[in-house]
Amino acid sequence: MEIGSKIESILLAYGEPIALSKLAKVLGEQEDVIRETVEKLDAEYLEQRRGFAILRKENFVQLVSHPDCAESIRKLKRIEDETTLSPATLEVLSIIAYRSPITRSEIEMIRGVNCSSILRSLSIRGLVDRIEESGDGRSYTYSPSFSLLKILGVKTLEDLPEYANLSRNGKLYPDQKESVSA
Amino acid sequence: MYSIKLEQFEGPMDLLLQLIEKNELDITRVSLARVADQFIEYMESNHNLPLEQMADFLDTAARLLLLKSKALLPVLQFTEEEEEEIVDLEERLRLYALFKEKAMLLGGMAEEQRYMFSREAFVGLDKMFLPDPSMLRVLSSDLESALKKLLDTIPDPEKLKEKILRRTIRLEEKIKRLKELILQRTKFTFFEIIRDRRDHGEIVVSFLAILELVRQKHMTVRQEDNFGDMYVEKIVEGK
Repeated sequence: MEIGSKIESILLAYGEPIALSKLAKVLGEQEDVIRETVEKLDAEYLEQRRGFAILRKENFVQLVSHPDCAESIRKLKRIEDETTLSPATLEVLSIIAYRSPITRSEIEMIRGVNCSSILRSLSIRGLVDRIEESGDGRSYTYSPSFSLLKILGVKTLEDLPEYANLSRNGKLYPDQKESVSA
Repeated sequence: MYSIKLEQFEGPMDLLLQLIEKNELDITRVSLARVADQFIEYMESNHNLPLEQMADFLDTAARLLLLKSKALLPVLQFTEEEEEEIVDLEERLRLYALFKEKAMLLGGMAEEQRYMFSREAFVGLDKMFLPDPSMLRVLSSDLESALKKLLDTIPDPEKLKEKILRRTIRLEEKIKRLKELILQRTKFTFFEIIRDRRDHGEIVVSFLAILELVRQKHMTVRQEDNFGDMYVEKIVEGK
C-alpha cells in the first residue's frame, strides 16, 4: 500500500487532529515525507473535486469534509444555524487568527479594551486554544483551534485573507510604507 | 462644537477610529489632532463610560491633546518619548482598523456556513482496544465457569463480634438492697459496700442510693475527713 493511502486511512479512522510526528512514528517514515504526502493528498482531493479536505495547523493535521459539502451534512445531522459571533468577539478572533500565538495583553493593546471575558467564552466554545507559557499558570498565549478553521472553512491559517502580510511578527503594524510623518 | 452620532463603540480605540471614519479622514497624526476635541467632548458627554476603561480613555485623550498642541504651535518640539507615544498610537489605531476590517471578513466567512465536519470516532477511546464482535467466540460453559469464579470471589457475610454485655446495676435496685442491709445491720460504711464493686458506675449508683435513702429519712451519713469513709446509720424511729 502506498504511504499516502496509509496516511489517508489513519486520518479517516482517527478522526481527531493527529501530530505529524505520530504519523511518522506509526508509519516508520520521516516527518518531512509525511508532511509532503499530506499536502499532496489534499491537493489531489481538490483536483479530483473529492469530498475530503485536510486541515493543517502547526504540526497537526485532520481529515474533514470539504466545505462545499457542508450543506448536505448539515441536512443529514439536522444542525440549526449556529449563533452568530458578535463584532467584538470577531475582532478578538481575527487578532488571534492572524497573530497567534498572542498574549491577552497584546490583544488588549490593539483593541484598547479588556478582553478577558471574550477570551474566556472563546476558550469555552473551543474556538481558541489557551496554552500555558511559563509553567506557573500566569502567562498564557492564545491560538486558533481546529474548530475555528472548520467554522471559517479554511484548511490552514495561510488561507485567510492577507495572512502573509498581517501575520508578520515584530512591529505592531508590519507594513511601514503607509505611515505618514508629521 | 461638532455633534456626531456614533454607533456603539468599544473602548478608546474604537471611539477614535469611528471619529476618524465619520470625519472621512485617514489615520495620520494630523487627522488625530483634528478629532482630539471631539474625542474629549464625547468622553465628557458620555457618562456611561465604564469606570474601568476611564484610564485607557484618559491616556488616549492625553496623547491626542499633545498632538493638537503641536498642530497649533508648530515650534513645539516633541521629546523622543513623546514622539514614540504618538507613533505608537498611530500604529495601534492602524492595526486596530485592519483587524476590525478582517473581523468583518471572518464573520462573513463564518456566516457562509462552509463548515468542515470531522469524525469523532476515537474521542476518549484512544487508550482502548475493542475487538470486533466477529472475533469473539463465547460458549455457554465459559459463561458458567465465569459466573462460578465470580461467585467464589464474593466474601462470606462477616460474623458480628460477640460482646459480653455487663449487667448494670440500676439505682432502684441499689436503693432496695441498701434498705435491706440497713435493716439487718443498722450501720455500715461506704467503703464497705463498694468493696466488691464491678465498675465506677456502681460507686456512683451506690452514692446516689445513699443520698436518696438519707432524703427519705431511712439513714444518716457522717464523714470525718474529706475523701474519707462515710459512716451510714439507721435512723431509729421515734428518736
